[in-house]
Amino acid sequence: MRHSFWDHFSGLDTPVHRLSPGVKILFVILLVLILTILPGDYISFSALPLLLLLIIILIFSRVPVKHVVKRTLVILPLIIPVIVLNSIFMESGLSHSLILSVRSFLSIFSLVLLVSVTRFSDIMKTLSRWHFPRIMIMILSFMYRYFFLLTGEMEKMIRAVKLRSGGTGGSGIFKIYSQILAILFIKSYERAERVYHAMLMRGYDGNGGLQ
Amino acid sequence: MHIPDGFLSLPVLISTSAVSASLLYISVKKLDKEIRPERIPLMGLSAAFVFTAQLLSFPVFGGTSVHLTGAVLISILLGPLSGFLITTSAVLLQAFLFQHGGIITAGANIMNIAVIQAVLGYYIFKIFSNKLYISGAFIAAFSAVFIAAAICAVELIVSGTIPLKAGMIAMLSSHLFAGVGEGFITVLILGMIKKLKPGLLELKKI
Repeated sequence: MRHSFWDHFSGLDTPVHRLSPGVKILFVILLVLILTILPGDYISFSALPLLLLLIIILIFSRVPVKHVVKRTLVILPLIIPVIVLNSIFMESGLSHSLILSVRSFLSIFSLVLLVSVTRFSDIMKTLSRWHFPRIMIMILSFMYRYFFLLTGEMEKMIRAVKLRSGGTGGSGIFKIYSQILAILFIKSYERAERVYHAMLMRGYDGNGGLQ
Repeated sequence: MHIPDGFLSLPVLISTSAVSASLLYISVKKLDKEIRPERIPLMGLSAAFVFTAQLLSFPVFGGTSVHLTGAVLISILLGPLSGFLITTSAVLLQAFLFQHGGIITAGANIMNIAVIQAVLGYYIFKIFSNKLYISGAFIAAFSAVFIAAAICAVELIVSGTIPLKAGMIAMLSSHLFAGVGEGFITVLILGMIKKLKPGLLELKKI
């Protein structure tokens, strides 16, 4: 099961990775907030310095440029329809959408950079220190840990269906996929029971495992 | 439906975040008081399930595909506030790890997906559930997606990101389709769970 595609480079050891996670999270939140608040005219000449700053951080973090660019481009399917809509229906639509694109592109870039230089568990610990609700931290940590397993189970079931149906799709596939998800939920429920028993055996007292 | 950072103006961000934050506060307080410890792994695994289910593309005619949001489904199974926390976690994790959505827009995305779909969708379902379990689930899932799309469009229009009329038409027409898909998938999953393990439909709803 491939589970490296999200925070793959967060385990590197560089000055950027060693920075306190709280500082990095605050930096990104501040940066995105500035990008959101800044009026359009200011965006056009502050974009380049901000991009430069992010690129310098990227170089120091030794995260491959290709990885960050690929992850940043997920924004395209969202931006393109907006640009099309604006160019057709709004006056000054093109410059307006250009500013929008710069805003969201830089925001996404900084977010990709953040998860590439900070371990997920460190983000969770920091949020917990900031009094983010404990139950939310628990849910998020469970998701992070079990998502891979469930994806693996789902892929196995889909492969089995495809093998038996000879690869043909048709309208029946809609029902079959729904059944796969139903089974996946039942399996998740049963796994939750086993996980809870394992937690009890190891001394879980209902207060979470986070210090 | 996941609005990225930079697409919303400050007033929209503040008002939607206020709604989401207050419901988050209420849910956490209520669940902290009422929850039994074995429920926490269940909520965690259910959240992982929602997250996984969202990755599965259902092929539909014409070569397009729809995917499940799962907000109404999980609320029907576990209750509105559990559903709210689970979908909120899914929105946050998607923003952090997949860059679907953003961090400053998280409040707005939580409102569209967790407040409207998980909580409002649950109460739409409740209106019908006594007599019409299956059609109630369909109506709830469909209208939750559709209302959420309309509110998402309003947020984008008020922020000046998309034009008023064309933006609304584009959002609603594309989500009409997604809503019907969501309804069908939700109903099929509930029917299958009922057949295989009916006890799971009777879990405590918080």
